[in-house]
Amino acid sequence: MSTNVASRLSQGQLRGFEAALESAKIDIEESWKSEDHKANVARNLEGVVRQTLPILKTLDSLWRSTLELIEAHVIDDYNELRRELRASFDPGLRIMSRVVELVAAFERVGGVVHGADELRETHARLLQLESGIFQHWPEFTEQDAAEARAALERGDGLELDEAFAQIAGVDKETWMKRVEERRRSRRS
Amino acid sequence: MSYRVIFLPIVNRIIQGWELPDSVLVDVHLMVREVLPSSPTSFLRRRRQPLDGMNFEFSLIDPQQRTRKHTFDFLVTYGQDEQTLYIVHGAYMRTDGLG
Repeated sequence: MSTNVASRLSQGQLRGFEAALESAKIDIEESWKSEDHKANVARNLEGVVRQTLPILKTLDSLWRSTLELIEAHVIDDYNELRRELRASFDPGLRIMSRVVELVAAFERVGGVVHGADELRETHARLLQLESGIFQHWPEFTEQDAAEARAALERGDGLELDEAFAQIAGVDKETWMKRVEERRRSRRS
Repeated sequence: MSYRVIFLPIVNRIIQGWELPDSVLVDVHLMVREVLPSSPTSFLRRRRQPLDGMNFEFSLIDPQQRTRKHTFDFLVTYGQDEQTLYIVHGAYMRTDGLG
């Protein structure tokens, strides 16, 4: 099973934004013309900001429903799942970054946009969400598979306790004490 | 029957890159050491591409930060003796803002 339907839904919601942002850019470039024009641009940008803010919620919901599928052990192909999620996150991140840039450009020419701080905070949270999901989830490639097969043939490998001690950067005895303490605290 | 679990060296490097807090790393160790080998067929799901293996996936709530969830997907294969499980790759996702 994959998240296909949810991903496509999110992608569809996001796609319409990009054309609208291009015309907003032109408006900002012309905002020196008059105070009326500037006020008009501010109103338009505030509308864009209001429509941009829900991107975080949309992508957060998409991730949480995906997480439920992972935890239900129904994901067949993690590479495909990753690609589908990226196909939703990439336009969302692109649009929100673009709106942040547009608002900053408008502020540089003296414009004021209500909701600008909320937009920047939402953008930061979206980047945090994206990083939490993808930073340590690389695609498992054919090359990775070939290297794994070669390592298995060579008989490479570490016993589990030794491996975790190395990961933690301590000797095995120290590590196993920590494991035993945790086991005891779980029982009590 | 309980299985022996072996990590390929690359998995060590991968997990080191995750920079997990010690408390979470201990819980991951316990999952792989105690839960997986006790009944692999209950926890593993078949995965054929690009390597014929199985997924061992689970989530843990961070004991130090209860609003954070850590989710793991390990790629596992059986050794030729069919009593050894090799962990050959891993992925990790972090979710904040639970509850």
